[in-house]
Amino acid sequence: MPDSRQTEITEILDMVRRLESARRVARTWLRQTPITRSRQFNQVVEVRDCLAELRDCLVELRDGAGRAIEMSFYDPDRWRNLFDYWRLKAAHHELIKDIRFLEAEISSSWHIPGKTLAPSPIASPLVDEKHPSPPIGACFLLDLLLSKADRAVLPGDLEEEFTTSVLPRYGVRGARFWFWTRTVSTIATRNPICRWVLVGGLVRIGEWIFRKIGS
Amino acid sequence: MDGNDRLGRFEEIVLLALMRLRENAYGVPIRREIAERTGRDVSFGAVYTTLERLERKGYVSSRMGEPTHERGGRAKRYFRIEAGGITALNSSRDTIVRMGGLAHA
Repeated sequence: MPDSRQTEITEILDMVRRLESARRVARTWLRQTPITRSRQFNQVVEVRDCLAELRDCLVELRDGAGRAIEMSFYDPDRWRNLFDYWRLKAAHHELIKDIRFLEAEISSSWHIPGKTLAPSPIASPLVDEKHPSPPIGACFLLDLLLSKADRAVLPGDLEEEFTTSVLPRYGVRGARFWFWTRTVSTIATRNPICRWVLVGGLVRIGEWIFRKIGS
Repeated sequence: MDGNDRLGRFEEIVLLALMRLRENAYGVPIRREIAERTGRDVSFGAVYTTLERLERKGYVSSRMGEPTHERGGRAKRYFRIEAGGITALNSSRDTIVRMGGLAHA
């Protein structure tokens, strides 16, 4: 991997680390403190402006993390690289969730005793994002349970099929369900241990059902 | 060709898909081609297992391609049919023609 690329990835990971605590604080505060209990109207306005700024920072960070993921730095031969890849993937996923959460807060009316703060428009909301990603849990399972050679190719094939063909045809929920079923079938086909565990599990469930029927 | 090198039905289908796709033969188009032409919804696992078996027999070769955006930064694995694969396909077709001839006699 070129040095410049590695430097960029390190910088993004540093930013992710620095913003993680800010994100956690904002999220906890929003979930635990009902806005209606805030005493001063000006403080409420200030808080919402801060949230809007935080949202913009997170969008920027999300773009950076997205670029790093797409920069083809995935390398199944290097565990350190794989670890960074998954940290970025997880951060990217969390960022999208947090941005959506903040957007919902910013764009709704805030009521405090005696006054109402009108919704604040968001220039480019993520709610209408056209390219949802495949389920992160399924992607992680693929990376965890496939062999090194398969790991380099098969998740990419599934992701390409998900984005280009399945998503337009079945919608987000249908496509995610499709991705999960394909993940299980791919792991069962390519990983003999998982296949035996799956078959053994099904046999045991069958035995248990027969015992229940018999008794 | 000895007994072990005979092509199975699915192996034939995969080889024919490779012949049709030529340079653009990697996991997604191969699976799509098979699904469209046979009406069977095959899994990527089944396609790769067959391709690897064919590669071991020397009927196909593979190379790694460039990673792309829609693949989450992962690379493509391109497959190509080799001369041995074409011979095996022809031999398999000849066998079917001969057997078909016997059936119509």
